[in-house]
Amino acid sequence: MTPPCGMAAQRLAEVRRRIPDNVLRLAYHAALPVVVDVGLLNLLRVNFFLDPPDVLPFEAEAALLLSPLCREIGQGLYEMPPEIRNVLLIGLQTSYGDKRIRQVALLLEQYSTPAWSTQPELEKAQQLTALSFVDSARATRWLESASADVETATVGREWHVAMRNRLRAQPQADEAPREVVKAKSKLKSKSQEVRLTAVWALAALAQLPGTDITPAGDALLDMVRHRADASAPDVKAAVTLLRTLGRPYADLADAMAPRSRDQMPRNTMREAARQMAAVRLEQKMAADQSAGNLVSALAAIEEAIAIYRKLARSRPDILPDLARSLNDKSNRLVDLGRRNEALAAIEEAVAIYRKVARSRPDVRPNLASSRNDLARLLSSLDRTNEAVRLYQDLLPDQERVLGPDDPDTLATRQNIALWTGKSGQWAKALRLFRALLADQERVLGPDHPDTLATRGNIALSTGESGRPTEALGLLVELLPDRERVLGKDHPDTLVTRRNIAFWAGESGQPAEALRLYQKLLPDHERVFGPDHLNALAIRGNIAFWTSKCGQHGEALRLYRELLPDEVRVLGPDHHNTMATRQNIAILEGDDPETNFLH
Amino acid sequence: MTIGDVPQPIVELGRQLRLRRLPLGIEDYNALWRALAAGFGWSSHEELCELCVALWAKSPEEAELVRAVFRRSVLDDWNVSQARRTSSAKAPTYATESRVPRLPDDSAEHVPQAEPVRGLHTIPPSIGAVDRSLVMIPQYPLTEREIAQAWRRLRRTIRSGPAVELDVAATVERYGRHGVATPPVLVPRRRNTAKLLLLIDRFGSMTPYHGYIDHVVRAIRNAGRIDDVREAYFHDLPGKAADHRILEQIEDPFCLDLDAVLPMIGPMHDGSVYEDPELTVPCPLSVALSQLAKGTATVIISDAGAARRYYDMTRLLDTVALLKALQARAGAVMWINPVQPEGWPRTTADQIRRYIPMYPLTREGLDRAIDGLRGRPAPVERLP
Repeated sequence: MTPPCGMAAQRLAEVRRRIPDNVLRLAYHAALPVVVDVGLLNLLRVNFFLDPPDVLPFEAEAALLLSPLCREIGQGLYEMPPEIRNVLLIGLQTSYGDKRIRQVALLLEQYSTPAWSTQPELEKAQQLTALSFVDSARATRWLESASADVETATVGREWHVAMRNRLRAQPQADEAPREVVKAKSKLKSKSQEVRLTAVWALAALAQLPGTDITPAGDALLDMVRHRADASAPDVKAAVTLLRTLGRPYADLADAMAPRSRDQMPRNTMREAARQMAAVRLEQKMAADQSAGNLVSALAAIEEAIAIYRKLARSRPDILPDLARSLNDKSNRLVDLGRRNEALAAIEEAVAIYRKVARSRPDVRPNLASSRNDLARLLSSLDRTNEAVRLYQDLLPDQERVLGPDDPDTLATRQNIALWTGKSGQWAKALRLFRALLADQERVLGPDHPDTLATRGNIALSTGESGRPTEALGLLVELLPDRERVLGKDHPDTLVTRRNIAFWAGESGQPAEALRLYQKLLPDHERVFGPDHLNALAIRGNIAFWTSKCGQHGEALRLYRELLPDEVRVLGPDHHNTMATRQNIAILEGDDPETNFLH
Repeated sequence: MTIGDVPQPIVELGRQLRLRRLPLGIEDYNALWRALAAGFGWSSHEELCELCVALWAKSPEEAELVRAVFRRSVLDDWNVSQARRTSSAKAPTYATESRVPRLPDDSAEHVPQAEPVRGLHTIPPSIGAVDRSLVMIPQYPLTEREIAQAWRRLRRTIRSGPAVELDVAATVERYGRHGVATPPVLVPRRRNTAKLLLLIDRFGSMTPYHGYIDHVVRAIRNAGRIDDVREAYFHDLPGKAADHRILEQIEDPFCLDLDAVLPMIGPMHDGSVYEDPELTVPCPLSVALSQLAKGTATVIISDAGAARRYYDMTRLLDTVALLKALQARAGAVMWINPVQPEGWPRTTADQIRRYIPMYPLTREGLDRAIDGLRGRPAPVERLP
């Protein structure tokens, strides 16, 4: 494929400042046709951008067409510069894969419009382009045979030449992952021109959202360090690119920009290397975390914190990094169940953010987020009054700093509503949840896990306000959405199933409640294990509703099986254990008809 | 159906259709439940699909939409082997395990591919597959139904034509007065005589909105039930103000508005509009305006520089001249902007809306614009 030139990288960097990443993903799709018109772009959005996680409103179409990515060429048609188109096609390939490319090609072939049916060259070019993405050998073969016989064709020789060049220039399906490797190897070339091309190729590829910028960033850093002449055009280009990659590359670029390596103060170089090491540790933590290696993730972040602490002594600009790492450490400790240690870490993070936020407005969103984490931790430690107060203090700040529609602001509202309800004011909580739901659906979309959680909480508040049947109906509506979005084995999905069973019982359907609990138990035990607190509670519920259905002997047997497990896991004094013991006593009594189970 | 056994395929289908703005309600679901309970829709996916089309689609486009969404929905859970039809209207149960052959991941149908033949190559070969799960109908923020519903509120009814409608009160009154059986009193039917002129900006920054605006115009024409709808097209503006030197009289060089010189701006005389959206059949603005009946409601549809976030004082001046020309000839004038209000600040649109009510092209925006056309006061900061 044609290597991307500086224009592509610069224009992509500009576009990323102006349009959100998901609009850029729409651009990936719009890059496949030779040209797009509004009708085709609309169909691309309607087919690929109405379902989560990629949901785009109609306005995204205009945002893309009026962005620097597209150029209007008359008759309502827009084209993209070839260099940009190729980078976007790599984005399409790496983010969505072959199946999506095939779908877009089929959409292009099935789409017909007067705009290009009156222009045979364009119509054929679109058709051939669609084919080339599904079967490039066949497209090339046709083009060769057609070029040989150009006199009989309705389009001229120029068209064939242009199409051949075009097909040759567009990236092939398996080419995308090799581009970074190829560009990196060219950075070592003796020819300045080759190096420059490689710099810009990396620059352009690193602008794709979700791309790992590390190989590009490292290679560029390496090149800048090993070249004595800081004023060479490729070095300048590399420094410019490093600035667009964010921290720590931007910091390093600033540190190196005006001087060559020899002129750089030694300690600056050392600090840059240390900072780089800390960033690597943070990346390692994220990787360990997603791989489930919680202990290793904690160790990595603690090491990063040690580096940031040392650096921060002489450089106050490092303090936000230190606070961020402390916040991460607190979250990892929560994952490991070490909540009291987590509290100390998050309190330190909040204190640092507070100190820095006065002079650095850009860290205020982070402060809000850390305060939110602190409040959540306090509520999980049963320090509910402190937590509610913190949430309530936090809300006006979040609304001001993050804006009323920020997901974190919405999360705080959710917490306030929940704890309001848990303090017994369920009617008030219901009002708060309903107002929140409207905003979440508008901002986050109806399928966001937080939106779904609010629907669950509305059901809870409705049931707690004395309307169990209504709560049941709401949960039955919620369940399929949770299963679809989160999966059948997600803890939240299982919670919804438990709640459905609970409110079925509360609304006077004992047999239905029993059936649902029985169906739930094996799934719950499979996901969380048989000794999970909730698994034991479900067994208690099964015994309870068995008794309610009149099968007292069976209920007694179930309670007797449950008791030793509860004593072993929860201890003899846990309120669930005590309730089980009491129920056994009642069922063993002479006249179960008179007991409280009825 | 029992609690917890909600038929997910149908819930998902409904969700997908609502995302694509097919307004499905509880009644529509109920209709489907009743049909399923009566034994329809169980023999194959196709039968179920056609049942949904028959119950839910109200136009060929909607039928096509239901079919396309049906094909892309996950329907593996729909157990058609349960199609033991019973004469009793017993509620069906929904199996969770599938015994139906699964559709392949790529549900495109494969057809035999022809090898390219020499001499017949003027058309490139087709991919050789059709993906029927692709929706090929454009979708905009407002459906035709919503647009028509909004515009049906623009009514100016008078009785005209042949007397065919029974006037009950007058007939009874005449009976009472004469005391003998008299023929019934008939009066002409009420007719909507509301007239509408749409002045539509085309090309440039409006090109991305062409599809949507065409859809809106079509909906108003087809289903808006307005007596006379006319469209006139232009690019940016139909013409220029008579004298641009007025701008030199604004003393403050940083002033963005025209308040100081507003009375001095004369109505636009020399502009021209086009009869077709491609801007090929011109018509002088003065002629177009002179053909308007008294009280014709006028709507200008333009982004007013908001799409590209431009501010242009000369354009503002020319716009005020156009508004003055319209005020002299037509009834109420409203501005509808396809760009959302978040995009208006610091653009020409932000200044224009100080002189004329401007609303976004949303349901609420349309309702408010139509309220204005019906005579509800729509205050602006300054009258041009």
